[in-house]
Amino acid sequence: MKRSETQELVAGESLIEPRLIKAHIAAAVFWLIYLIVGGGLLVAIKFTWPNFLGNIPELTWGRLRFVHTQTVAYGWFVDIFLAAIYYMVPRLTRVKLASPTLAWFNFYFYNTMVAMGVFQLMEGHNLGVVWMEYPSFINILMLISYAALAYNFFASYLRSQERNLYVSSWYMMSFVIWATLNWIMGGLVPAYIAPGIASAVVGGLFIHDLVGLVVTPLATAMIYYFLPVMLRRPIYSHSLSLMGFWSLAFFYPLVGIHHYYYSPIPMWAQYIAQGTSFMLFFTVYTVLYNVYKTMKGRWGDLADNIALRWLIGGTVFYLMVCTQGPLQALLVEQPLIHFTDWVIGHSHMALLGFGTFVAMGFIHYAWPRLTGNELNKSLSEWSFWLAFVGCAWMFIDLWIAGLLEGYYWGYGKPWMDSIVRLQPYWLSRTLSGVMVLTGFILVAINLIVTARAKQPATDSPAVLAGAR
Amino acid sequence: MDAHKLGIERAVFIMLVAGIGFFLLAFIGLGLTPWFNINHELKGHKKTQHVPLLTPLQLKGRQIYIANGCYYCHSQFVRPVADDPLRFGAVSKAWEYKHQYPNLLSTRRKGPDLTRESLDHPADWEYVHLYDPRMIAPWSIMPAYHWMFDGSPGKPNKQGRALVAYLGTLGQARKREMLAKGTLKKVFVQGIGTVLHYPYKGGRLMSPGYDHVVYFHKAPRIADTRSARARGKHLYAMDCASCHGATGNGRGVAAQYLTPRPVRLNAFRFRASFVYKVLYYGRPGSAMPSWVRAADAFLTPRDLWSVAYYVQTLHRHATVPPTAHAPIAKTAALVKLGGAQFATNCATCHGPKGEGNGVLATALTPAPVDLAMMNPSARWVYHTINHGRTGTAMPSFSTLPRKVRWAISYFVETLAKKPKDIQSAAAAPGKTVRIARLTAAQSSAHN
Repeated sequence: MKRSETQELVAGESLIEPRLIKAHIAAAVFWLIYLIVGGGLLVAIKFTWPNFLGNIPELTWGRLRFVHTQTVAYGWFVDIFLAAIYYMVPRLTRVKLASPTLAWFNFYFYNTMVAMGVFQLMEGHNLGVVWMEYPSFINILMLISYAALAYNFFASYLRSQERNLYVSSWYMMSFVIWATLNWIMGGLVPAYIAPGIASAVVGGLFIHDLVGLVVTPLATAMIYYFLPVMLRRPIYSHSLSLMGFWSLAFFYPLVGIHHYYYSPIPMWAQYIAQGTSFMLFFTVYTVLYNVYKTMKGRWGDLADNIALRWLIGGTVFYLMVCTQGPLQALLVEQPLIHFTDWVIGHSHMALLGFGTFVAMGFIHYAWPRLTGNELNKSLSEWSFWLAFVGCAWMFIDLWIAGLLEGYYWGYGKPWMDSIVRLQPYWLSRTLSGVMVLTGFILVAINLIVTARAKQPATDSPAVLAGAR
Repeated sequence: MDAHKLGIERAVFIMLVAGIGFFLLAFIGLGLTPWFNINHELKGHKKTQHVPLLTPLQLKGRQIYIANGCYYCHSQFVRPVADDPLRFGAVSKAWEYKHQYPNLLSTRRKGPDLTRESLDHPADWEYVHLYDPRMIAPWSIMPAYHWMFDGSPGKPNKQGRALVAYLGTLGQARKREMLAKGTLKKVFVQGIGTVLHYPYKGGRLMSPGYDHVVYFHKAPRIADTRSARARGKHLYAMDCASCHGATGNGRGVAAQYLTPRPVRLNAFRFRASFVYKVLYYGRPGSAMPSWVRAADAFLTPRDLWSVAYYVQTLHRHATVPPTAHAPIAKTAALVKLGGAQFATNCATCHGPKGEGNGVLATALTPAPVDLAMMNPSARWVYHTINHGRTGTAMPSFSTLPRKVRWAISYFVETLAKKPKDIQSAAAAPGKTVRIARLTAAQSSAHN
């Protein structure tokens, strides 16, 4: 991206649909807080007090856990990704959205589906495929949403006069295809077509494709878009961008079986998954080298620019989670850490640390420009640090707990010993979750306060400063 | 730019190759190929005949298992690594999962793996545990499923029955296959019953890649020390008290829902080696699991001995049953009469020396108890003769004359084998005095 293009991306306010983007951000933040309060927090409390709210079937551990995981993926992430797509694509293609009406319909339709999914799960209607727990009728109806998104998305690119596709566009294009294919594969194959262990084979692919081909591409697209825009400087290396993208596209779909190491899945497939998982080092380090080289000499910006700080915070977690990932996907590690809280710590760092922080960077960058008002600085600071420290606390806590758990099992301790031993760690995890939640509630308050502030949008100093 | 000429930055190329191409490549290479690989291996595989088709009730149970997220915390595959095979039984094979849509392998273990669950626990145990897991295991963090019952663990509603019916199928296919193949054998153990002899070979578990096996069979016996009893007391409180009661009176919170009722431990003066044996094998036909193999148990030999020594001390809590307050005085003639009557009424099941090896013993589940090793006090024998044991083959003999009943009770006391436990424990240097003191305290409590 040339310097002049960076300027144009900042300027393209007239192309986007601000109300649509604001609606998606609001819905996403709502789901984020809902999934922490109504899912994660209750579930975490039940580790310490298993009888808490225990007599209501809808509020038992097993059902709320689905609400937590499904709402993370399909409530919070997909909503914020749609917002990001509606924000980035018109600027990258220089054309307006083909059908804002369809996009608005999709907003209401999709969020209704997510709400219905929460309700269905709490009522005990569950497909039983890990990360694909919505009952099938919701899965089928959601395909309408994917079609609506694909129509608007590809129409933009077809009508575009832009000859060069920017890096973010590669990721977003693949995202739209991958998300749809993965959705069909996960909803259809393990539950209806593939029997027994074959169902686990495809289920494993689905689980990791959800992380690697849905969350990661869009988060990476956001990094590639918003980092140059925030810094007003082009990305360090185009070749590295290419290498990062193509290695992700090739290796990520091949790693899923590492979720079922040492299961009756043929061992050769597990060995391949181990190799491809290890290759993710290459993907991630390429992308992050590119990112940090772009940051060179501008680390001082983190002090003032809260959006940049969320974004870079996300990349730090990305670096950590993807250093951990290929290493823990080695078969030698698996006897110890598989099935334990270590993996929970790892997956939280991927989705809560990496994905959510990057998305927060987008929100904090876009919201002042969409509303024409500046964010409250003190609230921004508090929300970032509460979330950041809370996250770090949670991850470390879960890793220690996971190792303890693994050693307790491995040394042949009675099962209950591991439960008793981990109690303090689970309590500590709940507290760290409260801290993270507080941070995100402050984000929500900040967004509301900013949106409601009565300042004329056009001559606001924030907008002028932002557009400079 | 060169890259552009190659097309790798063109939309169509990206969408076709990265978007669709690589996704399909992965689906074919690591989805379809292993899938067909498995299908090919299972084609004409005779073992799959052992996999049962679930009944409608069991299928409904599987749905409830899914709906309530049981599969999040309970995995269903035993890996050939770590502690898995010792804890959860034979390593999982692909054919066992035939007919499963979707699989319930899971990626998480907060509770034990349930692949072989039905071999560990009978239905009545499952009901109590499901109603409130903390009635069985005080530290359990599993949710209580009250709504699957009409008010008590003894009254499961359709959901509860369906779920437990499903749990009853877990592990059955592999059990049948191994029995047919001969790698699993049914063996009658005196005083215990017909147990499944698990796939150990020469004390070694037959699982590939698993070498550091704990030798339960040959595990050395530990001494009866104060620290062993303290460990035993801790484990008893954690694992045993919920059924057998804190004082061993057989009245734990879960007891009333189990058939047969948990044994009143304090009525017996056990041989420690016998307690070890029961802990090791469990008692088939009752809710007593094997504490070595049951997924949630997994005590070490050291732990088993510790519990055994602690259980021996429970006799100090012994009470007198209400029916046996006025015994007929014990005389040599009475004991002799008891011997003759025992041979007539009891020996067919309990064996001539009360060792639980009568001619009918192998046919009974639960098997007759080994009176010589359990060494019950005469008053409790009298109580049991009067009332029988619900859920077992032991009937009430209240029609026998009172004198005969007391005679048999006194005779049973004489069947006890001489306790060598104390001698062997005392052999450990420096422990003699303490053991002697404990024994004295025990006997004074008994008197």
